[in-house]
Amino acid sequence: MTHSPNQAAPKRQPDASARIRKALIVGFLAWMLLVVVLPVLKVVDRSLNAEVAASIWDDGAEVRVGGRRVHLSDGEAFIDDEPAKVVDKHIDERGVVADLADETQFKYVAVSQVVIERKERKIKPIEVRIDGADWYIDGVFIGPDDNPVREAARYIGLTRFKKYFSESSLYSSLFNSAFISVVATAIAVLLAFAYAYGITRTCIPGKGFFKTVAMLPLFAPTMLYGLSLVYLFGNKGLVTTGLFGKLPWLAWDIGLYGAKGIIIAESVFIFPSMFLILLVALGSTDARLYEAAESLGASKWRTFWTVTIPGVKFGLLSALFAGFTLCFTDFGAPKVVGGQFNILAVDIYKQVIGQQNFGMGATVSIVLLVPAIAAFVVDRIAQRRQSSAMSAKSVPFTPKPKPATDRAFLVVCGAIAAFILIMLFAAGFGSLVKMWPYDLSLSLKHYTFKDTGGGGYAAFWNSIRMSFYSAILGTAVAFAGAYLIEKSREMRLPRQIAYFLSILPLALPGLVIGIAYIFFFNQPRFEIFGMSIPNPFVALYGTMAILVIANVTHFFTVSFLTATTALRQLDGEFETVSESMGVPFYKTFARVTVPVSLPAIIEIALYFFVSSMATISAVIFLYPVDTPLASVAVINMDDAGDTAPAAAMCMLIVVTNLAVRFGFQFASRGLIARTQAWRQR
Amino acid sequence: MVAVESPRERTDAFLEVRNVGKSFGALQVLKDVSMSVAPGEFVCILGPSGCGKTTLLRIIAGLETQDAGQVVMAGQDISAWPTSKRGCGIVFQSYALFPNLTSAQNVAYGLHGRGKDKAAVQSRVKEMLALVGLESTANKYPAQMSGGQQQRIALARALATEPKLLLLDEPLSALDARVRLRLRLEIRQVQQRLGITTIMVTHDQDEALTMADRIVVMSEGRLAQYATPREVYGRPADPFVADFVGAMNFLGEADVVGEGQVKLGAATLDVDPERLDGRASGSVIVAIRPEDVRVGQDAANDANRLATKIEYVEFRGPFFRYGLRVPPDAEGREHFIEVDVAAKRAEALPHEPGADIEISLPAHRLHCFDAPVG
Repeated sequence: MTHSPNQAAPKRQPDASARIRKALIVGFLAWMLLVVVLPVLKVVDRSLNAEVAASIWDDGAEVRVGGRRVHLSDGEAFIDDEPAKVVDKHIDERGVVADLADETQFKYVAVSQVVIERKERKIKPIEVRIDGADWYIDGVFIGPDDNPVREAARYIGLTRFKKYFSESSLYSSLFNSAFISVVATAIAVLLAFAYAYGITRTCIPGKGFFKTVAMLPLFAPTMLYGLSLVYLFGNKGLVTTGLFGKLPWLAWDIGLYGAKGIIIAESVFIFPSMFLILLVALGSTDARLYEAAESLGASKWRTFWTVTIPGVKFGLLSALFAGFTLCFTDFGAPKVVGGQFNILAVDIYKQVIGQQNFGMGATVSIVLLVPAIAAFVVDRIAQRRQSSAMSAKSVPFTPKPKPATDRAFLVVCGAIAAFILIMLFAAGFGSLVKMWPYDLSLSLKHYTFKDTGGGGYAAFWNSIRMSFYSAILGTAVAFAGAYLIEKSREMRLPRQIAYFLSILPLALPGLVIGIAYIFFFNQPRFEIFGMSIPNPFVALYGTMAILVIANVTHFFTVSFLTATTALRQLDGEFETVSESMGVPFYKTFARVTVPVSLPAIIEIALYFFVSSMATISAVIFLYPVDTPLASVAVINMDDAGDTAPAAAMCMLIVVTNLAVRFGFQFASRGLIARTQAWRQR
Repeated sequence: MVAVESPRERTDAFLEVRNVGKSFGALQVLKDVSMSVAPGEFVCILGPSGCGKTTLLRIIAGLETQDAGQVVMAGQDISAWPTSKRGCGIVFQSYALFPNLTSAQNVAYGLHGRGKDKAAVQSRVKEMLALVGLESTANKYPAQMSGGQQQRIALARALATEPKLLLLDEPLSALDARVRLRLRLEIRQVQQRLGITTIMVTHDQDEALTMADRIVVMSEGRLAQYATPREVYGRPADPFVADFVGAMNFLGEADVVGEGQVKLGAATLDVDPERLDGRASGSVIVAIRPEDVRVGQDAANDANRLATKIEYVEFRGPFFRYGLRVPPDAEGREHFIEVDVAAKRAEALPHEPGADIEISLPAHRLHCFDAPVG
């Protein structure tokens, strides 16, 4: 017998199925790189590089480069707001060389010196050439442009971050954001814990109702809570004016605009997410531990601290971080009730939309991203621990009636549910009033969106179309991606990377996705390894497609995890059995995997739809001028002081989402019944 | 010593595994494993969990790729072939029946797209359901069938495409003990009727002993013995096999003192010279199965007699298991021996702990294994 143990492993002949699967895994990986990794890297890149902003007006011009400002005003030339000497229409001082066309226009500006980390540094000159209405930056034709903000790849290090942390007008937002997030999270966790405790551990009636009410805030744009608060506690609010002077003893001005308003609105906004996590955590504690504690004679108080809290500690941690992140990165509610109280998310908006300072927008985005990623990491660890806390042998806890406790929790849960409903529908009531607070008769006139900007019903229909496309594309990508990662045997490492990239979007605030897409999809060319190739995706910019892609990415992780959970419940050998019978994997996918997972697939599609309808953060940077969106219209109408139409638009979004969610659930009952007949024993 | 039967002795092998090795990272799960399977043979791969038996099956099926060695089927090296080309029918421990398809649809699953028309597929499905005796469940979903029925549908599905090789991965381990016994017989009957070459992985020695033509016993990634069930039980190749298949009393190391004689402590025991493999010196490990020990009156006139005291007696239904202590001999060595006595025979024996009882170790029943080196 010949021994040859060191023979090389045989090279496998791939079959067609394996080849297709490999190609799809590579494709999925490429997709995630394109929509997550490259855009985010671009944000980092932009925060560390100089950019050029140039503007011309009738009697002057301005070129801003890497923190330097060169401008002409009233026939005088300035560099960094200090007068500059002009000789023969030529300037050459302090690292700036410029030629003037006439007294009001530049012909050429080159900046070769910038301030990098407080030291003046020479850089390769950034050249701006102006030829009539045409602009050229570094020799690249920019064209006549109202707003030629362009990147100029010159490294300026942490200059902007230094600037950010040295100007209190900027860095105070970071503390403000942290402050309101900590307070709102603390309030919401107490309420969500009590609410979830009431549902899982007491015998209060109406548990189904309470659960449904707790989920309702997920269907609304966050601006809605701001608007409701305005109607209740604003200058002309119901409470502020003591029911319009009818109940003067009730009149109470809480000083809504600012931190207080944001905290109340955010507490409602983050409530459902935290409640859901705590509901699962409290619902999965092992009843045997309580029986053991009782048999050992432990007091209620001691049982609470030694059994209940340790049992849910990871869930609690997870809820805290989820709530904090949501609150820290939210933009809608602070925009409406924030007043002069600056927070990070709104700062990004102001830098980018208001000042066209993309570089600083990128910098603030990174400042926003760091705590979000930290919270994401802690949350992932906490969730992993929580899910392993429950063993197959655990006995679910069944509460016993205790009249006093039950009554107390009924009051608490009732109050919370009532407040949620008020926050949802106060604005709805306001939107139906003819002229708050002077003419309180009801009318639908604010639902016509006449005499107001924002786009009205066109915006609303655009939102529906966008949400529909997002649901289709998102469900396809999330489910197919989860399938390829879970059910393939080949390409182990690429699949692990793809899994990580699929989880990552959870850490990305919508605003960061928005700004990242501006940078990535709007750059005319990629510079890779010294080559300059035209950006093939630039055509997507300013279309509905980029909004859909942004939504798919923004809401990807939750959907992906839902799909993964559903797929993990399927027998891992379905694919091997098919393979052994020579049936290609895609046939089994279509005939078994998809039909069996249909409930999860519908759930994912609805989640994409509902979230895309309500979202504001990613899309506010990306919506094309000719394609207004409902949520953007809310912001614009509110900005213009049209509170009632803004509230009306919010109500349209909420009602649509509720109708789609529950309507679809009702309509799909037949489909589910037919495709899931096999579940019946 | 019993030599491991060389797989190359069979030239008419249908399947050959040649020097296959496999590692997962630093863990070597298969070490130079070779075996051959004759056409129509039923081979069981038996071993404790983690011994590499499932990996070996998956390599044969093409679901894993070996690091070294070949798999040869019907004279062709199929090492590099994808699973779909190998034409193996596989039944998994979980059955992996498609839950949303009826049992008829499950059985028909691999038949579509093979150029068969609808009627041919239907008649094949009918034939397969009849083969496993489940024509009546054709329109039932897996969740509506018992575990045993699901198992048989999985078997019918695996056989429907007329595979050349049937691979069974712990097919019975998810079933109740009673159903398992019945299905053991049924699978064997179906296999015999079709004459299909079959390899089954199991950790259950009873399954392997009752079903297989030959058994591969595996331990820590290597092949410990490859022989018929009777040989594996009666002539285990090494202490691992002896211990894993059936029960075995290991009496410890003994010196070979002559033709057919070993010295175990102070006692000299006769052994079958054949079992010593012609050895006249050195040391061996002596062992005997509980049912081979003779007790009481039966032992009275035998050689290799030992006086013992009862430590415990367990009632096991058809037999009693005695736990017996052999008191320390002149060299201070004591032994503990378990002995199985048929219930009827045991009636005449004492049962009380502490009672004296004489046993004998029949020479031709004593196993002698190589003593571990060092």
